[in-house]
Amino acid sequence: MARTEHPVPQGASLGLAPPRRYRGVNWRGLAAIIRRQVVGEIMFFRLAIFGPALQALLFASVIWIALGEAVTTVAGLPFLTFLAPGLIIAAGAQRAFESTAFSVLHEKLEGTIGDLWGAPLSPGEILAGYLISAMIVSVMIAAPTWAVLAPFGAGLPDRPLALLFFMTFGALILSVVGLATGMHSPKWDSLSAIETFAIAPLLFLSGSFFSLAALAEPFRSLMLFNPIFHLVNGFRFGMTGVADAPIGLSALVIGVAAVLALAFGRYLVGIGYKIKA
Amino acid sequence: MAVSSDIGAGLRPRRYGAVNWVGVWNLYVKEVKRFLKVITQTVAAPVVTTLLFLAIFTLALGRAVEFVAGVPFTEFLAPGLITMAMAQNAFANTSSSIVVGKIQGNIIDVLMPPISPGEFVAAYVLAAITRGVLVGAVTWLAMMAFVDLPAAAPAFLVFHAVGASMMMGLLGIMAAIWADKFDHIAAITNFVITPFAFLSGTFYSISRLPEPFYTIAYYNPFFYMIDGFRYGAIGQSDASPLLGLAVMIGVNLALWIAAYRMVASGYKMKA
Repeated sequence: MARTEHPVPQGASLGLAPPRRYRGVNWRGLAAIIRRQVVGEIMFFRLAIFGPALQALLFASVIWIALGEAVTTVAGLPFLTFLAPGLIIAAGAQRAFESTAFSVLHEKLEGTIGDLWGAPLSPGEILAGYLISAMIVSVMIAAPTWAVLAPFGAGLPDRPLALLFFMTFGALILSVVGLATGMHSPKWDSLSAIETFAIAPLLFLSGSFFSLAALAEPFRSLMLFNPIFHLVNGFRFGMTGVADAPIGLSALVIGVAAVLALAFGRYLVGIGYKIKA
Repeated sequence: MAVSSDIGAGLRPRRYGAVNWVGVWNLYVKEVKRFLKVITQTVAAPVVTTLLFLAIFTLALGRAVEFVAGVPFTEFLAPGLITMAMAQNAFANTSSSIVVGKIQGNIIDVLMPPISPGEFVAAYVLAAITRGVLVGAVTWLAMMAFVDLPAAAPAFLVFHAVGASMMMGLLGIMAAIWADKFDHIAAITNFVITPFAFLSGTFYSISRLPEPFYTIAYYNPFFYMIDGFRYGAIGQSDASPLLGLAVMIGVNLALWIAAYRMVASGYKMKA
């Protein structure tokens, strides 16, 4: 009886393929999100993908000209060598934030976010799709930034593994922040306010441009509670082998922050904050 | 008969002389309201970004470069950053408004009314000046908390604030008329306006530049705009202040004529 009510392969009589079966993880769906996010990034930004690299190039040029003969070393490194990792990680991390935040808000406003949230994807898969694509995008931004800074003293990574660790985990943390911001923002105005007034100052004032030693005492200790500072510090260690603060501490802070970010992101996607009614 | 002559009996075409003052004023007000409506993005954001630049470059260079041309580095830097903010926002004001109008099609609302090309340019440029000067003034006030800004030559200060915003507003009109989509404006902003603003003496005295670039700098109007405003702010300049005045007047005149002719020809707007 029951069988006749649901003639098994519904589409078969119409010449349609049967539903795709998968076990565990919907790999194809995950790959589709990643491809869609990365391609979307390229289509949306086009030439502006090189914007952060150009900005870093301008920063380095004006500092190079302004410094002139004044020889300065920071933490034992020539100033521009000290500066380059800060500019690279700031550019990569900021675009990791933008990549998820812009995409989520855009689709929310266009009403197309249902295409993703309605697809047979678990919250973990959706989150993974956003995070992995943000990591790819942040590398897409960081690599040209590194290339333009190379003439100014950005060398090859000294500790590639540390570099990789801080690059990927930094992108992960910032993309969860971007996800939360995109889900929370009702319109572009609020998103750009958060980016301009909170994210950019935090990224640029957390030790990219100066060493811990330049800070007076209450601020020096306070800086150690700033995860972005540890991100910059760790990334700089990866590039130059020189760390401003104990590298173990930075790795620990970023590791813990990444786990917390993952849990928070999983929670947000799970409840569909401001997306599922 | 009687009916048709009664309808609209009280309505007559409005007469005006050489200039449609009401039209210019209304277009100006519309343009000002457009940016005031999103004041967080159009005024507050550039002010915060400029302060961030002040912090970044003071932290990065303040100890290595204590003095530029005899002036404390921060004091040298602040007027340059303010000019940069005014210039970028004046450019953004006209260019984004006209490009949005072209893409959404509502530019027709400005092209159809009896507003002449000269009136069109004037209203848009005045709004750009309003935004540029507003951003500049707020940034100036905010920076006074950290930097000594004496306003050494107030007349030069006002002239260059208005002149810089006017120049960039006019360039914004021309860029937007030429552009077919947002990408074009974004490309011009990223790859032309920002590099010019950065490299034209905001952060250093051009006497630092090696030879071909030093001479080239004297042919760069962006340099005179920054240098002149700095003279007004702190009384120190690389070039003669009077030369700066002359260049800004000349460049603005040329741009007015170019923008006027572009609008009058209907290029990419009425074609």
